[in-house]
Amino acid sequence: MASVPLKPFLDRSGNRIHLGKKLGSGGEGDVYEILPAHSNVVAKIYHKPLDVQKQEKLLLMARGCNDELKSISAWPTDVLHAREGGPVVGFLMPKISDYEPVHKVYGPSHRKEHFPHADWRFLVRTAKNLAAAFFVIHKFGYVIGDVNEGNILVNNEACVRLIDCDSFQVRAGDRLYYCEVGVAQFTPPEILSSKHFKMERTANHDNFGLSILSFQLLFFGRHPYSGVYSGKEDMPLEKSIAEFRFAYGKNSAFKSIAPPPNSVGLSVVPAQVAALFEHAFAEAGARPNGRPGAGEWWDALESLESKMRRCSADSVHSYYSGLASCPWCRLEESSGLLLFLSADRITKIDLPREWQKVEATARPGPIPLISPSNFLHRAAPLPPGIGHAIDLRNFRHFVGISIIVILAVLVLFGMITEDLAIPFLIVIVIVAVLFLYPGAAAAEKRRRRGNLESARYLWDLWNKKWIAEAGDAAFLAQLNLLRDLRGKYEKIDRDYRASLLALERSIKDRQQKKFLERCSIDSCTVPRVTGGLKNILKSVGIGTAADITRGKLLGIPQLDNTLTNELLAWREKMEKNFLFDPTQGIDRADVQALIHKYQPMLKPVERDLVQGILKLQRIQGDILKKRITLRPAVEKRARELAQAEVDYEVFSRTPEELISREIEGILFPRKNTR
Amino acid sequence: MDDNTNDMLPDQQPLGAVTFAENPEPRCPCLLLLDTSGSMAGQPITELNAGIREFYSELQNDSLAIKRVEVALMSFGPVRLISEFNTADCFFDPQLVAEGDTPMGEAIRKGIDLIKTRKEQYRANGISFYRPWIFLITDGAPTDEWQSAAAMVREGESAKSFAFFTIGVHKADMKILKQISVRDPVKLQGLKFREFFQWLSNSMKSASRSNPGDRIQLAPPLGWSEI
Repeated sequence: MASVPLKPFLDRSGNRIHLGKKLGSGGEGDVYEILPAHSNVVAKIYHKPLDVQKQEKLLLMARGCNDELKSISAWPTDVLHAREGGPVVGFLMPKISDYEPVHKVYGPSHRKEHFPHADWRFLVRTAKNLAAAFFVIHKFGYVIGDVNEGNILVNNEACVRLIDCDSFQVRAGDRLYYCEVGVAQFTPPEILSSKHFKMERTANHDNFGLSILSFQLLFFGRHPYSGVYSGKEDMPLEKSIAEFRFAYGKNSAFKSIAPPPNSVGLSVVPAQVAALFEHAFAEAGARPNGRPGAGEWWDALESLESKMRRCSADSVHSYYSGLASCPWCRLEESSGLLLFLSADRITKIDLPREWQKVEATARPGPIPLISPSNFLHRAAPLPPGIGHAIDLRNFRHFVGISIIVILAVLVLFGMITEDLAIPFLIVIVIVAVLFLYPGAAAAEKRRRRGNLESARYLWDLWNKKWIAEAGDAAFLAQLNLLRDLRGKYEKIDRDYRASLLALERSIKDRQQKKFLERCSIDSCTVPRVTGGLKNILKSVGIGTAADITRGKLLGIPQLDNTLTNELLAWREKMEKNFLFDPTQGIDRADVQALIHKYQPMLKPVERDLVQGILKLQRIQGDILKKRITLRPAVEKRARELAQAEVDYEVFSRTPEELISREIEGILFPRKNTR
Repeated sequence: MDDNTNDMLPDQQPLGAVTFAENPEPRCPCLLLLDTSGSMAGQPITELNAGIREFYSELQNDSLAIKRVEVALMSFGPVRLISEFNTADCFFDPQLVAEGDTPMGEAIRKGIDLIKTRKEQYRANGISFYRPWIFLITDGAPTDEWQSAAAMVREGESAKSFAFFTIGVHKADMKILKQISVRDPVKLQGLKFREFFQWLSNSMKSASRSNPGDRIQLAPPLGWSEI
């Protein structure tokens, strides 16, 4: 079966049709070129003999063929027989080349690869052309039946062609030739549950598929029934369709389904278009003729086309002009997606200007230091009686220490013997009482220590906050981040320019070579290069200035050194005459290939930079504001801590300090407690 | 340039969400649980690697399958997640090496977890999906506790959470495989891994064109299995 059939086939009128090479192969049959080649007709030959029904259907389609059908589809133009009077074994159809399946247009990743120039206007036009194609099919009473992402093709001018037409549903009088296939994603809810497609399909069924495809084209490949389902169980697409769970509809909450993250809703299209979608995907659509037809779609999309605006920030963003701002900018900002590729530039920001904003953002500088030691305080006066109590306590301690010292001296000099054990014990008890007796000052001391602890705690808290929020660490970190981003940006930009330059240079070389190739050796006016010599040069393949190289000349015995140099000089002179014409020769496609290579790399860096600069400005503003608003509170805590420290200090003396103070107190009686 | 600088910017969307927006096609996940125990050393592991490479290139050549089929690779002996669920354009050569024993139970449990996580990501991102397929390929018997894994397989199959298939190579213990999988295990003919993966890619291609419902349509396992 795979080998090229040698025998010619016969069309309806008995013309011999010679097949050329095989162009493609499918489940049902193979597609061949027709000889002589370059004809715009191809042939499909089935693998297996066809039943009578299918043969009749093809014959009917071929008879019904007209220019309108041919212009939008691979419509059977004639049937093919293997022998005269034999069964139909294949058919002829218009050749469709340079088209891609529609899923490569609506899916953003494939679109950017295969249709890099397509903007939203292109997608709207594709949807409109799709509606036009459906309109023609329905106008002549046919039904597509198996609407799917693979049998609708689109070219780079947004023109649409339908293929696999032999599966369409055909009606002839009261006879109906079914379309027996279908794909669930495009099959309307009302017939989704049937086990097979041996049934009458209607234009209203097709219109469901048309609405799905239009939605996918306008909404970046999202299927209208695919969303975030809030139920626990799995929600396969098929089931979601059967249950009319249109994720973007006004009843979506009622259907427990929400649009997916990073998607746009019906608000990006005019109310007229949104209403068509609501109509097509709701229960009412399942009624006979319940869905908007191809004509209605065409009208609505035509009207949308006339209401488009180009985004001022990014020329590749076309959007519905009824919107206040560009929805694609917003989606790109919030999602990090690159929806469309720019056709002319790789970047939409001006780096030096953006960087000026960074430079213009004054550094907050190091944090002003706030410290409790900056605040000197006098201890709070002691409550009456407490001062005296402290003196008393200090006196007790002094006496206690003195007793210990005396005892130590006595022990040292061996003046204590064992029979003094009991008085010794008594002395120890007295000393213990002297030290441990709490006295009236203890409560005050506890209170002041409590104050100190809470003042210290609060200070730590506020000081940390001060450093974190009024310090410049966050600013510097963000600045470093921006510097890194700028480095990244510059590298990508450099690489792009280098590639562009290399491209230009190669084109310049090519142009120059062409120019030199036109400088015939006959036009050489160097006196010593005579006609005879020119003939010799030509005989060894040196016909133009382009052929002159030192290597080539060295091999020619008739040339001496001076002649060689003179010829090389002539070539150089010719080279100087060459003028590079940048408008000629640089292939737009080559440049755009470069743009499309570098743009996706640059885009995220660009976005991070722009957002990062805004963040830097925000951080700077915050810091300066915090330095003003936080300062009083932090200073208050510093002051409170300083106060608590001196307050407590009164009680916290080391024994040495204590002794020296006591001695001082004895020597210079009562200067008042500090 | 260090890559982690970007992590410092908050408000970044996780990569996954962008990928789903760039390619919102319904997903057809397929998990391969691959035995890389010592007994697979030599010809078997070489053939397995070649088969996987072919599998990916078949998927890459199909413009719909490349957007819909997601493959994850997990090897056991020891259990390693070699590749997360990814479409075939993100293919990377697994270069499996045979070593260790056969912790099949652990691999199955982790694999089922992986499927669960991926399904949650699909749901959160509003991506429709087909019932996941799990293919377990082994040439031996589990060296760890596998009964709990078998229970998880039964549970998942009855809840239609996934379809679990087992492929036995050489001296694989077909009896235990039969106890693990609800579906009958299939014995690989010799080392026809390539034929198996050719068949699998064809099945995935047609599955990715069918309906993301619960039907499973596998072609008969011809050309690579012992019947």
